[in-house]
Amino acid sequence: MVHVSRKTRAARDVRVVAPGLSWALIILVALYIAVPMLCAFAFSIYVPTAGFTFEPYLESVRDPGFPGALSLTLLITVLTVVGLLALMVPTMVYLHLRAPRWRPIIEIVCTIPLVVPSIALAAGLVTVLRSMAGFGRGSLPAQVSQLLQNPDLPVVLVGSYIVLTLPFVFRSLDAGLRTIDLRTLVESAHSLGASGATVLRRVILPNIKGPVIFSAFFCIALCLGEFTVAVTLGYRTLPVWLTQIAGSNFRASISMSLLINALTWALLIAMTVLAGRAAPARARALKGHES
Amino acid sequence: MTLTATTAHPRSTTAARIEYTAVSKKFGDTTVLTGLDLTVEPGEFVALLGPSGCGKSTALRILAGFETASSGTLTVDGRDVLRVPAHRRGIGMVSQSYSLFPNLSVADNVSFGLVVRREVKARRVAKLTSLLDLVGLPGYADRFPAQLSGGQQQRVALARALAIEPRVLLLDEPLSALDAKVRSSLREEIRNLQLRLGITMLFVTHDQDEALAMADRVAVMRGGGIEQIDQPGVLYDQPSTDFVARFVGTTNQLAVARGAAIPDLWVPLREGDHDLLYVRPESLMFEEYDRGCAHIVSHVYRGATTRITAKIDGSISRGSSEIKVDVPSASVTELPIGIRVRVRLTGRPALRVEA
Repeated sequence: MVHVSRKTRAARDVRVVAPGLSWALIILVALYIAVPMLCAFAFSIYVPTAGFTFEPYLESVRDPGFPGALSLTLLITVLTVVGLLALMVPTMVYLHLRAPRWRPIIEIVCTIPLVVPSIALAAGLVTVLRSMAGFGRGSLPAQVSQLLQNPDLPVVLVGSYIVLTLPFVFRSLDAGLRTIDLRTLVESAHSLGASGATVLRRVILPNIKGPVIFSAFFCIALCLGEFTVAVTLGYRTLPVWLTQIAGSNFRASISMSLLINALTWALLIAMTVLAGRAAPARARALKGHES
Repeated sequence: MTLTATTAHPRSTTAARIEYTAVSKKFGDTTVLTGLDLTVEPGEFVALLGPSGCGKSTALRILAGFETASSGTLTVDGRDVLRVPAHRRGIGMVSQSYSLFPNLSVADNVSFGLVVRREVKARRVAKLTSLLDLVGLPGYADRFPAQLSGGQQQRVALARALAIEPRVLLLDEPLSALDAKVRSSLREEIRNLQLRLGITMLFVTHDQDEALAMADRVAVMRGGGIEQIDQPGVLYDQPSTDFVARFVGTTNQLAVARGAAIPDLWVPLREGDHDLLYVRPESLMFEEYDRGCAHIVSHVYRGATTRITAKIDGSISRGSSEIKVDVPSASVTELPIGIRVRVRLTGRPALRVEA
């Protein structure tokens, strides 16, 4: 026993060649991320003529375009997260259980958004929507086109954002489902009388909580920051509104983008904590058991 | 049929009769089950025994509802179940391993089927307590699966399956991932449990010791069908085919002249038509003899008995080239390795086949 532990310690020493170097790397990366944000923060709260002030933040919130942009973005975000999970979780479970042969094909399809620039996606959507509208007022394609572009509920943006998150979500859920013995769990639950929906809710979801939470996070981050598709299709989401006010009140736009950034970070931290808790009770209980 | 009121007590389970009639299963071009016929009586414990790929697991999974049958009928208490979805069949299942829900405590695992059925809490709690007692894990309710040993996990899986008072309990190699000691103790416990509850059980295994030790009847399967189904003793003493004779227990295959009477002293047959005798190691003995046809090559100590192997001189084209005999370990010194022996039949061969 002593022998073994000595060996592993030796291995650990080899892996961390010089602890100082790794710390230097971490600090370097931290600076790379933090310096621009700190500069932006300093810029947003220091006005040379007026000294330190939070006025730019208040100005950005007071802008008449802000409430509309915020509510539209939040609506899109919620719908996208719900739509994404409702689409991908059952699909991935089905793929793993019943159609593993299709996995490579779905994987490729889900990866495409990563290699297609979002401007190409937006341009393609514009072309399709226009040609549908071209069928003439009142025709079915034109009605569908109108429905998709409803300014209060832009279904087309929700759909686009779901597509844009697929590459991340596919991988995250795929990895999650691989770590559990899916077939055995599903069959056990069925034999105990649980229907498909119950199995999904009570057995599968709790066991892939981490990947599901991270998928939702990716999706939220994308919805809060996506600019290209929204602006090309002519919607005033938060990022689009930000670039518009940047022309008239640059400082206010910077302060708002910092707020959004902070929100994303807060979400990331919250999700990490939640996911940590999801990898559950059992891990914590185990620790207690061993000690 | 009479309706029996169910109570909170797990012992009230009503056993069901299972009947497979000409059940076939094909996966693409491969046929896994070829017209399986099998009847399991209420309260009976039947083991499906066979090498991997013989269709035993598929037969079980069709009954559980995890596979469809390509043709044939399958009834439980006279009702066709093939079109009933798995979650409405009321058939309990314990599989090889790792089937407990890792996110749930032992209590929640065992109660899962009851929660799904919306049983009231008081009854769930009462059942949980009596089931954990039944499988010998009182006080483990708050543990998580990762904190349990393999044997304990299987006990919980058993309690979980019994919680829904299944009409039939299916066990798909439930012991094969466990170590030998746990395996043999759990083997006895499952058997005792089955006798106490009087539940119909179908048990799949590739381990003949397990099948012989636990089941009322053992069905030896081969190539998608049942080769022989009988009580363990009958299967061992009177196998109906050479496959069963070789698969269940150990046999020596001794060639004798076609139609000849069974000799007292066996000598290798090297020419002419022959029959093969399948003889168990306890039905033979070695006698030290200078001009014997074999010499002893190994001793394998097995506790009360020792298995002695002798190699037959010259090349043997019919039957075994080595003969295994079990002797009491105390008398092993009379037959040291290297001595020349002759082979005496002391018991009846299990099977005689025209080769």
